[in-house]
Amino acid sequence: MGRSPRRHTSEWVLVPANGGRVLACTLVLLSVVVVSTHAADDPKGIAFFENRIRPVLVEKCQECHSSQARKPKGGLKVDSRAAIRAGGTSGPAIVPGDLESSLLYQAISAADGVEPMPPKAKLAPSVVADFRQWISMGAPDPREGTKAEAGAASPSASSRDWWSLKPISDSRVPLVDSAMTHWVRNPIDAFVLAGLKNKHLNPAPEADRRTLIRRLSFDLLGLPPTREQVAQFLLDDSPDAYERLVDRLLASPHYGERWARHWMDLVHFAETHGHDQDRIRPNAWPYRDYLIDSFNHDSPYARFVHEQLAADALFPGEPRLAVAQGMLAAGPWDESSLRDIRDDSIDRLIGHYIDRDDMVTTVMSTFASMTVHCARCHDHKFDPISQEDYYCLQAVFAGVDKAERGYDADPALDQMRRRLKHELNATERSSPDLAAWLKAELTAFPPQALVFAAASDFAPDNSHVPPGKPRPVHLLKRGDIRQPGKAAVPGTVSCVDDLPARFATPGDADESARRADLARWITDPANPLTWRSIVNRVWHWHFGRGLVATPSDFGRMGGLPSHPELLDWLAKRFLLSGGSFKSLHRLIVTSAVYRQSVHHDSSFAAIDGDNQSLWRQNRRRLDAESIHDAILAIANQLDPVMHGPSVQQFALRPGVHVTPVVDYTQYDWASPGSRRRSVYRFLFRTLPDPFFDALDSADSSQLIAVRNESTTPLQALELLNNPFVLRQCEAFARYLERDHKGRIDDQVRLAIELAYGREAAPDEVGLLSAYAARHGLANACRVIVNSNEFLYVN
Amino acid sequence: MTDQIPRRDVLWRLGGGLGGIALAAMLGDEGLLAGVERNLGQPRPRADLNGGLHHRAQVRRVIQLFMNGGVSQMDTFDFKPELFRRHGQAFDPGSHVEAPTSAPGKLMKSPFTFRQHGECGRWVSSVFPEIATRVDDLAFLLALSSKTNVHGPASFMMNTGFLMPGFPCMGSWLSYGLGSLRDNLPTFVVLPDPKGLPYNAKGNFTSGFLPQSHQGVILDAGAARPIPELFPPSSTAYLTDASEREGRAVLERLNRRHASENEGDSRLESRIAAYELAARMQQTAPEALDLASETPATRAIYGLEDPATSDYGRRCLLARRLVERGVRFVQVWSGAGGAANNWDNHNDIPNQLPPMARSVDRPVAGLLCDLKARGLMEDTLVIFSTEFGRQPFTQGATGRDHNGGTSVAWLAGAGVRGGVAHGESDPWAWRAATGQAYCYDLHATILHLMGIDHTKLTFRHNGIDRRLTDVHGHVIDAILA
Repeated sequence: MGRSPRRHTSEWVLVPANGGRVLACTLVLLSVVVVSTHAADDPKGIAFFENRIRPVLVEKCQECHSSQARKPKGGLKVDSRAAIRAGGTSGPAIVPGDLESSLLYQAISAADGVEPMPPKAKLAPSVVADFRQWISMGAPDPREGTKAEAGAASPSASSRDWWSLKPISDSRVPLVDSAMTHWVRNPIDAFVLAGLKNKHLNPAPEADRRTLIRRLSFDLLGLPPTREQVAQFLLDDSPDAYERLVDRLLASPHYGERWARHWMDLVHFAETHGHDQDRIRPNAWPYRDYLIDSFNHDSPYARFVHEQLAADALFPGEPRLAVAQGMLAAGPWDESSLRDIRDDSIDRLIGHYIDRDDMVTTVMSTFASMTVHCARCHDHKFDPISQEDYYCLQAVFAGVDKAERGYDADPALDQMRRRLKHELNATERSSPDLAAWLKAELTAFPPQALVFAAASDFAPDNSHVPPGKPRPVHLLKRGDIRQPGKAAVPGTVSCVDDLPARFATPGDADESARRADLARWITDPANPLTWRSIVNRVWHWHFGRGLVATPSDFGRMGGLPSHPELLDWLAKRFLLSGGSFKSLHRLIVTSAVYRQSVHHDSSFAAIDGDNQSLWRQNRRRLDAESIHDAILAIANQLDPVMHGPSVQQFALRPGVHVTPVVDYTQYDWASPGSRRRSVYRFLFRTLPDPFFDALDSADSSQLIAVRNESTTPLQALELLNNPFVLRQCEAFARYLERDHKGRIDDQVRLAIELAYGREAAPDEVGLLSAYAARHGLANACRVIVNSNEFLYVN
Repeated sequence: MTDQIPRRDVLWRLGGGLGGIALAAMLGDEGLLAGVERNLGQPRPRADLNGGLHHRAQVRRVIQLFMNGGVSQMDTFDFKPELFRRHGQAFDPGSHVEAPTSAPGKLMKSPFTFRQHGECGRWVSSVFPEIATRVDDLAFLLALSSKTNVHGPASFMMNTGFLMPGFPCMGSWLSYGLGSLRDNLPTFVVLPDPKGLPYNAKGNFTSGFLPQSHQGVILDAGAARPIPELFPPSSTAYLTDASEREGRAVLERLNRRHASENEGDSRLESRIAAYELAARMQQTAPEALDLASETPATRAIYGLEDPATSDYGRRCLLARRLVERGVRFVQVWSGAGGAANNWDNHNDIPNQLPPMARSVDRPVAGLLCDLKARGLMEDTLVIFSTEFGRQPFTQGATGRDHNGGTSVAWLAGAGVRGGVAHGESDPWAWRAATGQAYCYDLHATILHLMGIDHTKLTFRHNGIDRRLTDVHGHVIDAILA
């Protein structure tokens, strides 16, 4: 394969000239860089090129000197290895090892007799020095292809030579030393073990059962295990006790509630428009319920993708699936720009481009882990995504808007209403009597259900009207609305081999065909991005870190897979399983890797402090929703009602304009619905709940692949003083007192067992009992829910 | 128990009450929070650069006065005789004219009188008599453009550099880049107009993809509980002073026990520290927010005694107290989002603009004066800005529609050259003519003053090393001292 792994410590910082972009790997702690090499180039040289040279060429030279420049100046192109060496009319730009003959070097170092380049702004001395070093190294350059073909849509072969774009390989499960066969439970373990062996690391011992059930329960359900579940698991001495526990958990309806929330992060679901007119969407919640049900029913992944992108085109017989297209409308919508200002203004046009950008970015980040949005103003600087590709993707969504649309869940009713509407359209002019009758018939129909979703047909609202047919989309030079280039046809990125980049759908076809084409492109078994992307996400949600640490960016600015063979093996297996999430979960959580303890080993930490090679399980802080739900659960207060309109856990009153006043401090925590799982709380985009906000819940203006994890004084204050917490601590105390009247020690023991999932130690009981005796049990409960052991999962 | 209830409510005025704080060993400033929050790869301010990242910082703290709605430039600071000459005529600049929410009307002169002020001779209209007296301290940007004519995207742009939601605002970038000056108060504080949050609500103060800890902390200055969760609600009867004090000690013991059994995880220690910091914040914040100790003279220069100016004056004074106590960045908003009671004067410039201007004029002038008198101007920057300007022609009879073409902002304080102006709009104040600047340039300049090269303060997000200034921005040398 010609790939060689190479370790990098963080913070490679390239400081280019004159305030150019800074390439800094800021938060990547440690990344393993796997580079594809040109036969003669060593990986170190390639890394130097990728980090120091390529960005400068792209930034500073290629605008005038590339196959994409209309007329490359001086005949020079620098966008492939062959072209840069061939040079332009004056001679070779780069001669490996020979600074004197390398005209490019002469130009950037402003040597006598050579026209200095770049013409306007000199490169910084440090950058010139990088070029000097690079040429002296022999100018290693992995960019294959002699001449990049004209036309932005055909990136050179070299740029496609990137791990995530290569076909998914048939990974062979590594052989395991006989000494370790006892440890291996499934092929995942063999892959991980091979990596550990390379680094002379050993896996941690398996966690104890109490730890395992707490971990599994939070992981799969977002809730702590009940006492009964713990007792049952502890007593079960059958060899498959663990596997049966996993099956029980996966069968729980709470599973869908937990995993739907992950998906809501990805697509930035919220129930208001955002922007300056942050209006409530009263019917956004059906999409949330759709997600919960899809996970609970283990909807096959391809089907899941198809439904969200193009249910109308692909499943016309199942009109209830209109709600799935809530995905495309999950993000913000600029009501001012798209409804209220003049519809002939330039700002309206900008609004449409920005809104489609949101759909394109959401879809391609979520499903393909691609950063296509980087190609809005120019070709992607690091990945083979052309600006034309990007606008072709915009064209896919040119026929839909985010809107509240009606639908008939009942297929027969749907059919009938459609037929009548069709007739009505046909007869409106020719036969007024018939039309009147049809109208009367239609009004007698039961009202349609409503959902906020991507729609081509919806009731007009001011000048927010259905597009009718796809709106024209143009390539915008530099992303500038005032510089439209050629019209874009529906399509997608061109860098996935064997899959069409432009869709053959005729221009006058129903717009939904465009989305169906994209849905089929995404789920094609030959699309390596899709299948790698989703298994990596699931891995991330199980381990707190993906095999690729940047789950929504598989490009050159993203991370590299820590276990590429395992990633491919999982992707293949997931594909062959029909895209079953539950079977993927089962596979992952029953592995020995997953079942390791979080045990710390300082000598291993010295080798792999980030635990990239998985020598132990990761300790994880509960996310905001799990903390909230777990507090309810241990206090025996959790209201298990599923589905339906969201609970507004705030007081609402009219604001001065569209955005209402949302007061979280004035909510009555005794009202109905106040004890439901957090997935059912109403999500206000620009006015999020400060409690969830402080605990790093997803910001619904962002596509969240990885949640931040912060530790702040304000977070502490929320956990201490938020009225929800304070109220539930009282409820928790009452519950403990009811079961163990008057025996504080026993009450404290039970509290610890519920909150930590283990038996209490005598010193803890002494400490908390004494405190509870002086200040009441609710105070002790408040301390417990603020303690690290409650907030972290081992 | 009952005597606790009023007590907790007056904590705000008495300076915190969780006396004892036995476990907080009074940690050194600028130390602990760094330990809690700083990640590998995050920039570190350098003491040898006066706290700057890349060069010497001249500014350590910032107060931004944000006028929500779009201040009419030709009615305040951008004097246009041409509009007086052509008043009532059709507007024909030779290229396409449109307004986002209305059909363009006739050219309209400013209904206010303009006069030159200060040694610099800056033109200021009669709506800002007090600010006019400070012009020799102010550096103006007279051709500050936006890329949009719509409030939402424009407010995002001025705060975050992007038209779309989801990007960190300047305060968050500063918090991320420079961290806090003191541990016992938030780094980035927002003082919204009590009438309501601005357009985009909290979207303007968001940390975007930066860690949540860099988000603006909103202080509702007029509320009984300015930071709602700083203290428990007084209705929670089971909490007392003693239960709080002992509870913290019990919590710390549990956490220490847990940490000793779970070695090698610095997050567990960080969380223990965070609770100590929270206790310190409870002690410090109420005092910082309490204006009672200010002298009558000080209160007067901020206009606290005049109902027209008392609200904005109180918040400007609060801003001074906060920066004085080490808050890095304070944003003081004037105007709520919406159609009225802000600077979005679509209908009636002669009658809608003066009360808005009056509400901030004295407080702003008072703030400038007070900062200078206390020596705070040595390392404090004050910025006055808005999201866009307004049209030179009428909307309806005497209103003006949005105009991203040009607007006015000014800066004052450390590192800024007073009495200068950069850029000029065209004869109608319709578009920028020379020295055009965007938010990128303004942000680059502010970062520059704080010792930051705006091209180097980056954060990798979804495939891009993001900056506050996107791929743009030039430091505006003309306004630097």
